[in-house]
Formats: sequence, structure tokens, C-alpha cells
Amino acid sequence: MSDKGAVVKSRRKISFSGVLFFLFVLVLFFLIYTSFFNPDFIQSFTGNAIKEEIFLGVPIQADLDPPENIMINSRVDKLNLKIIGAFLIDGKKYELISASLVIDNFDGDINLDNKILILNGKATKIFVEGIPITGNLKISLNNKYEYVKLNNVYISDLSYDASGIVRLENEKVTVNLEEDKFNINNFRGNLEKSNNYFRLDGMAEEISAGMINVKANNEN
Amino acid sequence: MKKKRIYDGEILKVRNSRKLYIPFYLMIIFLIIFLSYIKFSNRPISDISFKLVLAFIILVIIVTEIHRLGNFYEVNDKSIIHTNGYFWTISKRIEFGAISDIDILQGPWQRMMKFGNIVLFKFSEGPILKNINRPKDFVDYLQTKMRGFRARGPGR
Repeated sequence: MSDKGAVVKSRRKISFSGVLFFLFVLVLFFLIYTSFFNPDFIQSFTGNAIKEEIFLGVPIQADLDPPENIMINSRVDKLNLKIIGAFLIDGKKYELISASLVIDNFDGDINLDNKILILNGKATKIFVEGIPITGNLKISLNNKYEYVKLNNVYISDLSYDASGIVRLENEKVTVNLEEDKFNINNFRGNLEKSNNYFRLDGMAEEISAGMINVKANNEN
Repeated sequence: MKKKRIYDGEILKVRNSRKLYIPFYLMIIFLIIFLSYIKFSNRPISDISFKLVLAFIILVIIVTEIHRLGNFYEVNDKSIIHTNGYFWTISKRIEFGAISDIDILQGPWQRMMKFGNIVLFKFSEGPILKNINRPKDFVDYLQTKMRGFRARGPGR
């Protein structure tokens, strides 16, 4: 303040250099943390979102004959596979007659028909016959398979004429299907499939099994 | 700025030196090298981390270029014009006749990178031309122009 009593306002000037340096430190810290210390950090957020989504769905357990083809584009927490023949992980070819694979944190495309499994995507950890491979791994499979299990997978839509048993809303409703229409929308849960076995266990937004039609909104 | 013959009517247009932003470019290079290291050491890089790095790189390039566009200096036969601002600009003309002295201010980083600030005195400390590339060459150019101006006389 001057002698004449004039007030001098202190102007807080934004330093762009300071802001950019702060952002740089923030990005670097995030990169180090998510790559070196806690690779599951981001998934912990998406995991919570998924739980909320499931809470709004209709519980379903279905043991059915397998559909001819299933196409999935989703993040999958864990895949258990028993496949036949050679396969590629991160550009490296594994020449095995048959192999048991466990894939953690898979994100990509899965195409399952009755004999062939086509899988293209990325994963953070892959066990080949129990031997772990870690990193940001690209995986590419086009193999015959004996068994597939997908944990926490999202299927937007599946529709076919099915035979088997569908249990809805924690077995409050049981439907026996014999070549009847089966349709499921926005399913999240576990999927198991072998050549003659198909199992779904999770929650879905809308399910049609024969004459029964249940929507998640009807629950409340 | 190469030493060359200066012609009458020639106009020199100068912006802030990009050398000012070398620390920020080094941040980008460091992030790219660090990303490559993570990739080749087979550690996971999440999509969000990758996108954050990409966004930071784009942000730095945009911010530095915008900052650079904020100041523009033009030297003609009679004066220096300093244009400042983005949407609303202020142009200040300093006639050569009004300039009594010229100083070059350089910090250690500026000396190393060969850029600096030029203070124009109008019998007291006047406007500052900030972060000019090769300031000594710029001042030589300015003095040649001023000599030409004084030889011709202010009215011509």
C-alpha cells in the first residue's frame, strides 16, 4: 500500500510452465504406478462399474447345447483354455500338440464355433502349461479347442434355438427348453463351453427362454 | 540469423525462439523413451496411461505454439513493431529515432542455447523484445537499419 492509501492488488498470474510441469509429473507418476506397482489399478475402477451393472440384471444359470457360433468383443478377467495345435503370443510361435492356457486381463475379440476358437487381443499375463509370461502381450489364436471358460465376460446379444435347462432369478424360475428360442441381451458373467457343453452363469438385462421373457426392470 | 547484405525496404519478421520451449520438448522425449522402456521390458501399459501421455504431448505442442504466436516483432526501415496478443492484439511502434541504446540480457540457459532478451532504451529502460534467437545478430541487424535510417534522415 502506498502513502496515499492506494490499494495495490496482488495479481496471481498463472504460470503455464508450472502447470505443464505439474501435468508432466502427474502423467509420469501415473505411468510408473500403473506399469510398475499396480497394473490392476485401472481395472479396479471398471470392476466396480461392472458390479453395479450386474446388480441391475436378472440372475441366470443355463446348461444348454452349444450355439453354432458366438462372437464376443469384451474385456475378460480370466480365460481358461485347452487348445490343440500351435499358437502365437506376442509374435512368438508356440509349437505344442495341445496346451492348457490361462489368460489374465484379456481385452479383444473372441469367436467361438463348435470346433474352432479364434482369439485376437491383448493380455497382461498368460500361463502356458503353468509357465507365466507377463507384459503387455498380444495374443492370437486360431485353434481347435477342447474346453473354454471365460470369467466375467460381456455378451451383448446371443440368440439361437436351444435345448437344456435355464434357471432364472436364483432358481425361482426353471425352464426346460427343447429346440426352443433362447435369447439373452447384455449378459455379464461366466461362460463355459466344450464341444457338447455350454454353460452361462451371471446376470443379464433381458432373457427370453421359450415362452418366458424376463427383463431387469421387471424385478423391482 | 546469417550475416548478409541488408537492403532498403527489407522487412524482418521475428517470433519468440522455439529454444525457449526445449525443456518442454525434453519432457516429451523423456516420456516417449520411458514408454519405449516399459514396452521393451514387457511391462503392461494401460490404455489410459498411453492416452494420457499422448494427450500431454499434444497439449505441450499446442500450448507452446500458441504461446509463440502471442508475440511478433517486425523490423522495417523506420521502426520496430511489436505485436502482442491472440484475438485482441496490441501493436507498439518504436521509431528508430527514439531508441537511445540497446542491451542484450541473457541468462545461463539462454546463453547456452543462443537466444535472449533485447532491451530497447528510449533514454530510460523501454520495451523488451523477449526470447529472440541469436540476439547479437539481431542487434547488429537493428543497428545497421538504424544507421541507414539516420543517414537518410527521419523524414524520408
